[in-house]
Amino acid sequence: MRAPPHWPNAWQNPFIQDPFEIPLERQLELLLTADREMRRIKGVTLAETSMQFRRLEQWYASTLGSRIHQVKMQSGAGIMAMSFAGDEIQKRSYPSSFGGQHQLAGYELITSLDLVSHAARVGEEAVALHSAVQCPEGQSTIILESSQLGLQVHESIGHPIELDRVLGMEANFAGLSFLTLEKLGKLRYASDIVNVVADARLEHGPGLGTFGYDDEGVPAQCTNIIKDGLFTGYLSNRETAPVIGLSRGGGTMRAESWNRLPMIRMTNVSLQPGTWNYDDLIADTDDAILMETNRSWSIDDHRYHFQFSTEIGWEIKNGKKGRMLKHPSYSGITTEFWNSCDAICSRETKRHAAPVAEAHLPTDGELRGLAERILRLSDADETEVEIDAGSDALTRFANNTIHQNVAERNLSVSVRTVFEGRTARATTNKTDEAALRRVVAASATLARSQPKHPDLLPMLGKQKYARVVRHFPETAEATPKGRARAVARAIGVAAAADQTAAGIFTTGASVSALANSRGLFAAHRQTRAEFSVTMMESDSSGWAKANSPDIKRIDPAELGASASRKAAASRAPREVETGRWTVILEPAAVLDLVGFLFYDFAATAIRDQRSCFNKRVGTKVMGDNITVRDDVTHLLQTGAPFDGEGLPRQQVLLIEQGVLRNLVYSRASAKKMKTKPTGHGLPLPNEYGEAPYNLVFEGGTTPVEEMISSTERGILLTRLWYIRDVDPYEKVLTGMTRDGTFLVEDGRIAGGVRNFRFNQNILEMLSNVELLGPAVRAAGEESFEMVVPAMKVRGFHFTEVTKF
Amino acid sequence: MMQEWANLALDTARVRGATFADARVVDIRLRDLSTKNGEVGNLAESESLGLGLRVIANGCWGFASTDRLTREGVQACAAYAVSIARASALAKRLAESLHSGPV
Repeated sequence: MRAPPHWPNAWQNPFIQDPFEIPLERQLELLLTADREMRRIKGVTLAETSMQFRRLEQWYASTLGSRIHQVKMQSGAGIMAMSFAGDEIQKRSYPSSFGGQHQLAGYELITSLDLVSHAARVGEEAVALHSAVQCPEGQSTIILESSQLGLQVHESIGHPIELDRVLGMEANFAGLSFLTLEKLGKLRYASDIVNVVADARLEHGPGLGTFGYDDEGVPAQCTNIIKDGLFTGYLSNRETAPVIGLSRGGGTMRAESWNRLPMIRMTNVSLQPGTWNYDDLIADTDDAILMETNRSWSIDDHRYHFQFSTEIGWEIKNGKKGRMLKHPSYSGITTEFWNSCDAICSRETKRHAAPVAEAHLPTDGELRGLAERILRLSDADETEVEIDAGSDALTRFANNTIHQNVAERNLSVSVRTVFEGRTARATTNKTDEAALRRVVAASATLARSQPKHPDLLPMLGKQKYARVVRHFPETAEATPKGRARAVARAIGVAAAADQTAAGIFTTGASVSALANSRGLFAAHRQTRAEFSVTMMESDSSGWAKANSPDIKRIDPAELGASASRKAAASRAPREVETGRWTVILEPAAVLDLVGFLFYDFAATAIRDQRSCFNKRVGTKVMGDNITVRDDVTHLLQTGAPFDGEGLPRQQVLLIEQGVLRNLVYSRASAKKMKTKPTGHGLPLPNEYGEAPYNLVFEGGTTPVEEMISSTERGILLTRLWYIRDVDPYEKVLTGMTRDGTFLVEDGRIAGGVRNFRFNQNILEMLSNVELLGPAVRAAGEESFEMVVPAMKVRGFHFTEVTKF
Repeated sequence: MMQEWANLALDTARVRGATFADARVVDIRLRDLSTKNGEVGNLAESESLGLGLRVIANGCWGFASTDRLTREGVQACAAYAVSIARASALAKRLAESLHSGPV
């Protein structure tokens, strides 16, 4: 490819007010006012607000002669109210959920959002939802408000058009796409009023996908994705553009930071405005449901079968907005959905789809020296220093070849100061004297600029910790060559079976240290090795993944062989009926479901009434055969033996034979709830309190083979995908099966079946466990690693079956 | 200064045998505020500066990054990126069709 023509080499997004110049006190005061306004509404049990600013300055140079300097300023904010009553948690957010709205803009965006004026309404609606009518079931016309529509575009258009995904480069994790190459210029993606562009140019607006040049030096462009309903374009980069006959890259390569490899990421993928005025649209509608603000989203790995739910809905009857509806949710198939699009409103408020060398890690002596240097620079009442250093290397492969092989190292220094009961933290990765002075001063300014922290306790002094061995030199010393050889072995398995392999092999080492002005010093060192592989045939796939601090426990050839057997055995999948099934969940499938429970065990989640265990402490919540501990010392666990404040982590019995016995506590939440802390606190200050990061589910003795031989008719599940919370109190989760779903008949595997969507109450599932396998260290994608067994469960609820 | 680190990374990669390289020096400043039930939840400022380098050598991609912006740090990072690309060539196969041409 030729070098793009000469271009001007500086770009900055316009903004009016630099958010870093606005005093913190003023920003905090705004949030606290909105917070107070929400809590003035009777029935609001939890109010949260947030604001974030990011300034990124980048110098780009390439051997093709590019020299580009860019500055991007980004701002965002949002508020959320929850109400817990009866057996329901209801929630409302503004201007959108999950952190609010973010744009390439300055502080003027925050001013225009006017959070305070919307706070009371947000609180009122959260409370009113308890008495709202349940959203009816069935086929219906729906109207999506703009932020939910933005998500619909992002998930069912933005992701499937990513060309790296289409070409199989993301098959192991992010997944594939139903938009295979022969569909370009042929597929009726949508009804003919639908026009979608991917536009990174400034004239399109201040979306997060706006820039002057992408991260491989290609200028911003506008690409037609859907033109009058016809599918016309992909998101491409320099490497993939020739595959679809383009002479230059699509300009979509972006990296999150300097230590990330650029990849194809959505620019502003936007539905072009239509002609309807919003009020006229409502007036013209006889019977529909209006849905507002996303609550959960889940879509299969081909981006075809989706299920979205929103915080609130409204009946539209005879042109009028009627009763409020709770738990609105809709599901569908991407192309059917977009081909049924009848009307698009005009631009009211426009939104965008949101879219080395190894490896000297500091020794304990060096960590101590650095911490002491920082402690000496501080004149605070108390000072805490957290140092994290790591080096990671990742080899990614797809289509039977290595396509990414990357490495990074980083060191971060975080300083927390306390002045008269006020505390705050500042972080840097620069360790020269001037930068250390700056980070200490920033922490002091932040701390002094805020109200007293009511729960703040004096810092801890010296502590004693359990000894855990989690650093293995063989893992720390793994080389790119070693990883490439291991990958080549797995690819060899694929080639021999006429299959295609995709996956990752990661190795790394990290160290973290905590020190404070009262003499506490804690340090933890560990290594990590992880191998994940997907093997594909034309109509089936198989998957396997393992993770351990010790690389010797990872066998890529064996994992490859296991995935390969699954792909072969699930060939020509048949369709079986939805409904309640007996299922056998392999450990990875169990992990990704039970992982959703981890924060529910936090005492702060109970106090905030956001846990599914609200009012259930001491009661039977699962079957007799379920016992769960949090245990950092377990041989299959990883992580530091101290928490975010330096307190030793204790073993906690959470569930004993189905009964919820204990929670985990930080120092502050233990004091509030008049009990002892368990050593599970998060670094301060934080709003979440604590969490158990070392869950261990007690296993049984039945191997998966015996679960199969004891089953007359059931489904065997390898892994699950895109799991989301549908109902936080009943803990109903939805998601898809993936990469190895089998019918079991008369005690034997009868062949592969088409994948399912499930909607399953997880506490009910854990009450219906018939058999347990031995507990193993399981690795998935939705949850961090835990120790869990395989399970045979009765009455597991499949609600939909896919078309592939 | 930042421009010089980017240039040094490119030069080192070329000397080591890369046929293509691009470097990004990125300086990020972040401010994060949040509240929960009338109390300050999070109040944080952070800074992060480093260099990431992509290369093609032996027809394969390599990437490495570092936060050590010194002559030695940048040169070691560039050399490492090239050695990673060469290691990738061990499992090439289908790579030719996609990767062998210039970018």
